[in-house]
Amino acid sequence: MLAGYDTLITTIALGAILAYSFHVVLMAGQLSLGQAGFASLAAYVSTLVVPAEPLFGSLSPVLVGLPVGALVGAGAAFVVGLPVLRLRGVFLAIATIAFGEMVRVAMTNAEWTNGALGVRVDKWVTFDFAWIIVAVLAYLFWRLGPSRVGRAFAAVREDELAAGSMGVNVVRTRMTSFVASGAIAGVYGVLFAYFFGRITPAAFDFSLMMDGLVTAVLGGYLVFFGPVLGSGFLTVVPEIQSALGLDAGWVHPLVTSLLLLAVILFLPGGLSSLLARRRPAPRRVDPDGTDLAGLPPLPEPGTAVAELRALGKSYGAVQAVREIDLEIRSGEILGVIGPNGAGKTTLVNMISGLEPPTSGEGEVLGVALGSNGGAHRFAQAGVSRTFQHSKLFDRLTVLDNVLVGTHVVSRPTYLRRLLWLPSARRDERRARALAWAQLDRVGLAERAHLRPGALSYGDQRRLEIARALAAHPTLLILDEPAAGMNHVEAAELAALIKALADDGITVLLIEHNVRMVLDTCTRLVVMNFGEVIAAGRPREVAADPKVVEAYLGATETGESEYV
Amino acid sequence: MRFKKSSGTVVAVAALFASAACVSEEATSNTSDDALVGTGSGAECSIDETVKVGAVFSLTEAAAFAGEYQREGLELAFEEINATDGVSYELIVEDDKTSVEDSVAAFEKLIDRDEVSVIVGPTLSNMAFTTFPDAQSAGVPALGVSTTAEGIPDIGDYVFRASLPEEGALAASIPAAKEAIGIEQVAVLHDSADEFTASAYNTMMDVLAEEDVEVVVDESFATADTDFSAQLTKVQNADVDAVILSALPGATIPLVKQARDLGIDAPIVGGNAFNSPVLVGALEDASEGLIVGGAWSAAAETTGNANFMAAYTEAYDRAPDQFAAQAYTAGYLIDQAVRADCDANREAVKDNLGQILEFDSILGAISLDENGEVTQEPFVQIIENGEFTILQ
Amino acid sequence: MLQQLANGVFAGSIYALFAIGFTLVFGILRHLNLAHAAIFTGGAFVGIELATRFDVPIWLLFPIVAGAGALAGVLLERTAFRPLSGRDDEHFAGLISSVAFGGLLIALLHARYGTEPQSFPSSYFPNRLYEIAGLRVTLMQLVTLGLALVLMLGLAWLVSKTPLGRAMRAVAENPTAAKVVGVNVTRVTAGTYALSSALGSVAGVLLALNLGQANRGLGASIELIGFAVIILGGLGSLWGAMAAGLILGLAEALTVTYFDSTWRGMVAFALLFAVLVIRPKGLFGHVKVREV
Repeated sequence: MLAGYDTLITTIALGAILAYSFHVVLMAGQLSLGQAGFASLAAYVSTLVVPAEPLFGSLSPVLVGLPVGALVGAGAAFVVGLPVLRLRGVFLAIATIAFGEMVRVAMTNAEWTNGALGVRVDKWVTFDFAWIIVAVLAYLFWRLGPSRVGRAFAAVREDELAAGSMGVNVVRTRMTSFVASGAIAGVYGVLFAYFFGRITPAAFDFSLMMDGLVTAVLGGYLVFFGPVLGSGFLTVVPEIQSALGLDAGWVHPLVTSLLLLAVILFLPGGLSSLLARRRPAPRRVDPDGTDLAGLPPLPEPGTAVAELRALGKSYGAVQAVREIDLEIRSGEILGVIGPNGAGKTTLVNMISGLEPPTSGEGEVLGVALGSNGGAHRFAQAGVSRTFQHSKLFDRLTVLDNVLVGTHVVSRPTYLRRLLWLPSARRDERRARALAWAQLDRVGLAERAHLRPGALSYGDQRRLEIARALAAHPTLLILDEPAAGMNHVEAAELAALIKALADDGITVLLIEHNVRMVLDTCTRLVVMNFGEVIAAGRPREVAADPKVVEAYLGATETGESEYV
Repeated sequence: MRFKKSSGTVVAVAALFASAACVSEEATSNTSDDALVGTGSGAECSIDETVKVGAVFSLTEAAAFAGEYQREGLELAFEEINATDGVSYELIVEDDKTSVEDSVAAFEKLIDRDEVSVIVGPTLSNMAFTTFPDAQSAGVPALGVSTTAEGIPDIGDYVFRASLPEEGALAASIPAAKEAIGIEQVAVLHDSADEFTASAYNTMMDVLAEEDVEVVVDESFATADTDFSAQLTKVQNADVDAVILSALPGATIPLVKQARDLGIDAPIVGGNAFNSPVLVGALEDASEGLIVGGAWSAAAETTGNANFMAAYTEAYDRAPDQFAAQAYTAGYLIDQAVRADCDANREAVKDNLGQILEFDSILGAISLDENGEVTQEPFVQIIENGEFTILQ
Repeated sequence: MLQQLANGVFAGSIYALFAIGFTLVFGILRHLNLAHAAIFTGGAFVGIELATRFDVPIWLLFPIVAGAGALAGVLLERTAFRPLSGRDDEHFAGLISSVAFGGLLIALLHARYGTEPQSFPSSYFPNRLYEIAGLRVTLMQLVTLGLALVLMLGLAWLVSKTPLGRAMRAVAENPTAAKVVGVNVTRVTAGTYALSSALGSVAGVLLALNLGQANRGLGASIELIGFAVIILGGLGSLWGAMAAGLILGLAEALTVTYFDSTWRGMVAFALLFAVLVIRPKGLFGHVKVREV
């Protein structure tokens, strides 16, 4: 097109594609750096299958290489992901770097790759071909953002525990992003091979990985066009610099490093956050009859929701919870109180599937405690919860936080969104309607466009409740929801909890505000030293001398909350 | 409504996709420019238009150790040539930052934007394998000055090199070393992660087999390695007559130093990569006795060599090396090819580069054939008292 | 065979030296400081400059380089890590900003020293070869190993016995709690970086002395091995880092001896990968209770 600039333009496209393979893992909060290895494997394998002559006379032979490369990359990512995705943060980063280096050494030593001498192929990739791939990727990511799986990615990135408790299958989401990253890296590898016409093991090294990461971060991984922007920027800067006559070899790395430092310090969302227009306040969607009618009915009052038998949990020598027998029935508001360290949070962590018990057994909504699968299975069964220390998704808006809550009551929309199917729009509209209904319920509708950090403490707790409610739970677990609220707010909260119970939701409430517990709960359990020391009607339990003693002892130990 | 609009987009995208997926036959349009045709021939040739010569060297990053010398050598040559009458040249040097991307982009710029008559470079064979096919399909003659890897001239008829291939250097230095010091058993050490050294290694093994020299130790290392003691211990235990080394300067210096420190005093024989005054400067005493095969020697009494060394040292305040000498020679080869028909068009330069026969240069008599391969007599040198000396 | 074991130990002591500074920051602050390699390289260049231009004797060289390294460490912490503290993406952003800081440092070295490797004067360190019970060792190797041990012991003493060390351990355990009990976390963080970078730059000089020269890629050549060492050694375990460095050195030497030297580059990463998958806390790390 622009004579003499083809390479430059194609380099931007290739850089963007490489950056997309980082983008997709960063979106899901995974610091995975094995892309050079996936690209290398895919590139070498593609040289074995891509025909030497155009297909049917005129089609680019690389069309054969692309799916093969994507498959090789995705397959390698899956196989590597099985063991390494148990790791997180820098451990994951280092394990994946190690994988990339192992591939490089293996390719250098293998016979079929021709070792360090590399493989030569024909140059089939033209700049328009590369840019079409970029356009396809940008489209895929554009449609991903406001879809169910896109929100799951964001939720896992922001807080894995909260995401799991909202029904997001964290393990699968991480694996999905990892495999997608492998596939895109594979496509990059094939395009690289057939654009430059030559691959060597050294082409896919640690520095290539760093380049991809820097491009993705510089462009920003919160907006779908970040990689294109990052790549364009990084390619154009040296051109400008040489146009200015700054040819000294050290100028380019200096300028790039300074830019990167400035972006990471002052523009955490990357360059694309400058261009991503300020979103207007989201349009309100009111539920119509059909939205709520689709939700499954809650169980009849009095049905057993949870049954625990001799449940216990120990951390090494520390017995946090011991021998708990407890039955929760539908429609009740069960209060759990007890001094700090009594094991309340450990108990609800087990009930919501965050931690397996170490002894005893139990079943919540048909899911056995300690069974494989993790918190999302409990959420799918109808358990929803808030956390003692708010676990909100900090970089999502208030509305998007609540939308994550609708995960378990909505259907996947991504593939249908790609095809613009009207049913996907209907499903997304329904999810938004459910979310708005919950925001209304807790009184946060006016703040839907804000980020959680901009909310008052009390509002943050309300937001967490709205998010939990969006999952249409059978059993709602509230872990100290009134902590930090003044008594006007606490009274409003108490009224809300009662209203929820009237709607048929079973509530498990952990609270220090004894007055609120006495006012709202239909039944009360008191714990101390990991054991239930009293249970029954709230007023009767409150009068129990053992309870009084435990509480008086506790108030002296201070306010800090650790379990 | 929305759906219809989007389906239109889908069709458009599909159409675009189909067009991009198709392979277009690229026609090399080589229009000849009469302004580049002059009058007279040879020394009397006179062309009015300034002849543009492009060069792509690695001036920064990993291979800058070579690229800088090459730029200086080539610039010196064209300064000298421009001082004579008839043809004047404009040299456009691009830095490929030792990266494939930048190297390809630089070739494209020189070919399409600057419209040069001929391109010198790139520095590394690695880049040459991906840039030379572009020059070939664009019909621009390219002349490598340090692209010694096997297979470079086979890329096409527009591809030439004035750089002694590694097999040529080794084919000379190994027999010379055998004759001079009588080697029978050797250790071979090579960098298996770098393509230049890996290619040289293959050549070494062939030459050693031809010469009936037994390889008793065959070890490798990686480009960035810093510790070679494990491999050197094997060498030491094997009691060899010589060590044949194929390494880049980055590893050569620590490896030779560690070998000498460990008390390995067998002569060390190497190829082109050894042929640098920097090596002697960095290794000092440890460089004594290194045997080096190369395309150029500071000690050689070839035509103009003394002048070249003096002019270079004066201009750049350091002694030239083989990279500088080969790039310098390339300048004169191009001038020779342009003057042959007094035509600086790409086709003419290509035709005439392939007919250079026994050109008397600082590298000695040098010839290029139609396939682009160079023929010259290699120099085998030994480092004695900190100086490269021709091994007789 | 014995010679190869000795080779492994000497190579491993360089790995360990690089890694102890690296692991100190990783263990105490949970930062993966990717500028460590650049500071390592910077130490080597500063050392060569001092030795060639100012004829600084070797016994004075190490303290000066350590001081310069400490200064660079403080600067690194100020520019690349402190501004990020408290941000949600602190650890990830810190990784990127340290890459940027490292790139900056290398670009400045490039501007100052150009592209050619810098060398120590050949007479700077006496080249002596000893034969001890059939083992050939150079004075340089002995000094490297000795210095590595001394620095390790010094660091271990510092961490376990001094007030700064106690404060560091408190921060490592729980920064918030450390602050509550009156530890100046800001100062301890800066101190950790200073110490880590001082160690890193001294290690750089030592490697440069071993090689006789340094180029800008010096740190990068050992950085990946450094990852392997800190993981093998276990999160923040100083003795673990030392042991892992030596194990890697030995494993590499044995690979060359018994297998093929082309596979040597694989050893560190295969070990690292295996350890991360089988025992993520490292060979010498201890279990940490995860809190919800």
